[in-house]
Amino acid sequence: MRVVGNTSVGNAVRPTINSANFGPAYDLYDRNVDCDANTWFGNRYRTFNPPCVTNGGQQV
Amino acid sequence: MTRPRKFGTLLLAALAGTLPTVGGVGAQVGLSCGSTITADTTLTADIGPCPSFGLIVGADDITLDLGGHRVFGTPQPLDNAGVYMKGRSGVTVRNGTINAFDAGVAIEGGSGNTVTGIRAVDNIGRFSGGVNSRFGDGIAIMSSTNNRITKNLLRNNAPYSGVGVYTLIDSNHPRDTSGPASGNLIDSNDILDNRLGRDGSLGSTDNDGIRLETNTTGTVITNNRVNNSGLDGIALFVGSADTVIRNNQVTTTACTGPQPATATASWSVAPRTAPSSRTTSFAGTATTASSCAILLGRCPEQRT
Repeated sequence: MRVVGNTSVGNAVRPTINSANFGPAYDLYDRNVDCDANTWFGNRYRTFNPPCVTNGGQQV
Repeated sequence: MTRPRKFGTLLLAALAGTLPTVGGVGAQVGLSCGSTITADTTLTADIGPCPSFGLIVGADDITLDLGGHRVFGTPQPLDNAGVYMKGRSGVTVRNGTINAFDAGVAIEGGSGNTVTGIRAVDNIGRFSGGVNSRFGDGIAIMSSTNNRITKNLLRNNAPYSGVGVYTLIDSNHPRDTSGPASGNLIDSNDILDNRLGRDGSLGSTDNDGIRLETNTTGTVITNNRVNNSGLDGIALFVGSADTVIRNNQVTTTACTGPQPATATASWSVAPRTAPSSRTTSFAGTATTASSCAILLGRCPEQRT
């Protein structure tokens, strides 16, 4: 899996209702441990999880 | 009622809705809701309202040009797809608007089809309250390979996705065609405001801009603008492998409301044994739903 050169910003605004039912909300998110074998590179973002999704990227 | 006439190998279903007039080269007359297209066709008028299916593609290697016209269903669910192709290959669908069906374009089986220049808007199915649509997407690719979805506008489709790619057969996309959905290209589309949930509201939505469900492989997602999706902008379910996501702009994922109780159940998936290039591992306990711009590894159990 390759996730490269995307711009992902302004997402995951927490809801105003019943936010307890929501889990993590990020611009970039890989739920696999250490991103498994996925390649994340050169993406622009504000929020992320885990750090492996930020490789070569830019937090804006 | 106008008597249907044959043109080329056109097959006509029962007439309903508006009848187009004779057009130029490749145009066909007598088209109406549910007509099956078996030759190159250019619409010369709108078609609809259609209570079940707009146009059905019944031959390989043909072009259905909507000619800038509109094929439209009804505001109610259960009117199926605006353009439906089953087991078709090498078909191009282009240049027009498809709205108010359960899906704009539904591709089931086959391979190598192209959908371009289509405005698929307000195609809203339903899966609640005993009303179960077959689809709920702007464009649905089901058990089909190497299709090209390019330069379309996919707006306010529900409850599943702007573009959905499906390998597994389930009650959300029931069909008798099995096989993988692989090698599909989703490029340069505007995928906007696909938010509504299965009950037609925002409160329990799991609607995604681009949705690759379990066991889709080799999808390429490039240069799309994905904005204001219900749950995730681009969501890859567990087992969607060898995907490339490049140069997309994903913004303002809506995160519009709480997930229903079924989304809060604990789950556990055994560590993968698949090749390392695949994202199939996912072990842990999810107690909440996610709302993310680009997400890998949503568990099927999180679906409502």
